[in-house]
Amino acid sequence: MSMIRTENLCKSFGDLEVLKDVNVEVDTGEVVVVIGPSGAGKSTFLRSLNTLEEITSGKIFIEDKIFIHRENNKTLDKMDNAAFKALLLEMGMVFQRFNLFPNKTVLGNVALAPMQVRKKSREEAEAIAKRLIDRVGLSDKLDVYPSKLSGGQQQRVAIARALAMEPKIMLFDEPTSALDPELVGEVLNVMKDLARDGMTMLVVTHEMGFAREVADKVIFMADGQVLETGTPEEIFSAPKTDKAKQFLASIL
Amino acid sequence: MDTLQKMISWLPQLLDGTRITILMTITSTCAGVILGIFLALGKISRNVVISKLCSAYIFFFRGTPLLMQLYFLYYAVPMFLPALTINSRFLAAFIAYGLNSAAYCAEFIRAAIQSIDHGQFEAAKALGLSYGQTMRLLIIPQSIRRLVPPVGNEFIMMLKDVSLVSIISLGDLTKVTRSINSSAATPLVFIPSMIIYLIITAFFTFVFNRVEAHVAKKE
Amino acid sequence: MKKYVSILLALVLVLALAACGSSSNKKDEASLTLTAGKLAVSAEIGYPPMEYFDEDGSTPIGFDVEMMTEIAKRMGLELELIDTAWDGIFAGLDSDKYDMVMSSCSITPQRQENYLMSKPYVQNAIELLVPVDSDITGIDTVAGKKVAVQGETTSHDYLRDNETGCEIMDYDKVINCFDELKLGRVDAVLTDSVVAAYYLGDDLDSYKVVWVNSDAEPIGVTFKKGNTALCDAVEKVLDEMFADGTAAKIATKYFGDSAGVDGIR
Repeated sequence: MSMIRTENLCKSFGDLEVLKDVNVEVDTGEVVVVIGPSGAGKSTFLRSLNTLEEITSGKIFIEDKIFIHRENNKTLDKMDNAAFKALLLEMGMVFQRFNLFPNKTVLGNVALAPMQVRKKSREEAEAIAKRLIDRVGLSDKLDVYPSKLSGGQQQRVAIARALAMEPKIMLFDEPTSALDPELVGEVLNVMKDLARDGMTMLVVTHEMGFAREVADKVIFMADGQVLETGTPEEIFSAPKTDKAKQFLASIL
Repeated sequence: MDTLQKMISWLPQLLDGTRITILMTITSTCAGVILGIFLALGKISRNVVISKLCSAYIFFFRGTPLLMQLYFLYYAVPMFLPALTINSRFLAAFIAYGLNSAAYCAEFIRAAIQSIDHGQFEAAKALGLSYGQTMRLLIIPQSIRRLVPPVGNEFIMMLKDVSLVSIISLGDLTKVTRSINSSAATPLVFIPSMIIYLIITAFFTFVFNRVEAHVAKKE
Repeated sequence: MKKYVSILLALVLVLALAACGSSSNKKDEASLTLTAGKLAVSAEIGYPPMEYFDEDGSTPIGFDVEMMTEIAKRMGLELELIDTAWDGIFAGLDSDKYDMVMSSCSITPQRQENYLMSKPYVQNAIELLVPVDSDITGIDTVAGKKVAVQGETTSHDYLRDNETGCEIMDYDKVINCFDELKLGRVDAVLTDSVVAAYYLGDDLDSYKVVWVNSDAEPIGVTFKKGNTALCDAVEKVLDEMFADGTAAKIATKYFGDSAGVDGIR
């Protein structure tokens, strides 16, 4: 079954077209990795899925239900707020720069949204939070403020924070790009763990090792377009387009 | 020693004035900060009408002298709009100072809010928090740390602005001082009075520094 | 905290030194006045009809202003009129900011103790004004009422020195006393008779004078203590102005009649 599907996603900043007719499908339980040179529109694509960026035109479906439909910068088929929010919350997001809340402890960061958005009691929210913090291996940091954590630890908290909303798909926007090399591994391990548990994931990353090892499908983007889609084997061993060949040659 | 005795004999009156000065400074700065938060949120609101109204408010109160605002509220408003007459002098001064302070606070509160990393809004949005929840639970608490120094500054400014209340016959420290100066026919009284001002300033500077250090620990 | 204490101490020292220091404005020995050829007079301009600005908002006029202009002219000096806030006006004499104060200063024992005052040049009295429907009938019935006065005037002194039982409300400017009376925030105004007549000019039907201080309150020129040379010179000129009818003429112009100056010299 399709978890997320986009149809002809377009996005312009003024005259600059950053997404051109992007059609992507992620099935339930699938791990899809998006690769490509910087400026390819990978992050913009990911961010437009949960409306952090407003697309110019195109359609987004969540579990085959229409979520966004826009043409000429105007929203069509506007849905009511509750239904919209329900679909929005099926996506959890992890940012390149973590974006933890500095005024909340680790526990506070993870328990905040379940309490405020899902209206769970404090006890219930904190129980969920503690379980997830334990899962990312930071049980000893519950009452610590984010500024006292390493980048890798912060990103693991950010993953726990997104998971606390019980999303059906996790969006990762270059989750290891801001990390020192020695901290990348701990974050990737958490992500692999998630993938093994069957979480649907859409990951923008430069970690080709992760893509090879974990991805069910790899998407190669350049100049705002999807140029190739295939298994890791197909993309890495036999790229068809020149752009993909160039890109892979430059990073491997 | 005669001089010292004189100064001591003025102390009860001076402390009476000090009480009014401190009370007025604290209450109106608090009112200013609270109202200033709403004004700042209004000014950055995407609702054009609210934004323009808040900008106009800030423009008016920063663009006219505080002395005249106080005069206007206390003496002129009752003549034009008898329904808005405020007969309590303390209340009138509190309202004038609070409204004025809010305009100044709004500007640095807005600056503090806008200095918060945009990623905070994105993370909150991705988690499904509403704009109000984001502001109340995340952005404003994070702004507080950046607000402590300017609020402290506003407080110290207010401490001295309060001396204008003499025009409506409210006996703050400055008024009491000038009164003693006239009736005792000696400028000597300015010395203990200024020392009192410096003590208040030093005390509250100390308090604000402590608050700043305390808030810094919570991040 | 230690830092603040030491800063405070340093400031106290500086202030104390400043307080002890003698005035810097040394008097020119040969001249009667601070600056040769000039008579520097201070007044709080804003006290009609004694000293106030004409309707253009910048030309000082009034009884005192014309009197001092005439005094300077007869002494062969150029008049320099310095507008000064009332509370603090006498301190300026001590620090040699001007030669004399001519600003409706009532002659009181306390002022005479600290300053040198001329003989009276106009008669004044303080009056209690109330709305026509007020139940205040005189100064003995103001207990518990709010009475407005201009701060540090003889009216203010009167309320402080006499047990009237009223709540004293003092304002910087005399106009605010009348504002408050008109707004009903105070029950009465105690002020100089010459001023009361001026402010209530248009509202005479709504207000009434219920009491006039029976102790006449003469007004004189104030000098720095010990400046008898200048005081004597001014007294001489004033005597001339009373003798030749100039004083009466100026009084009539501002008060409507010359009762205030008749027979006081």
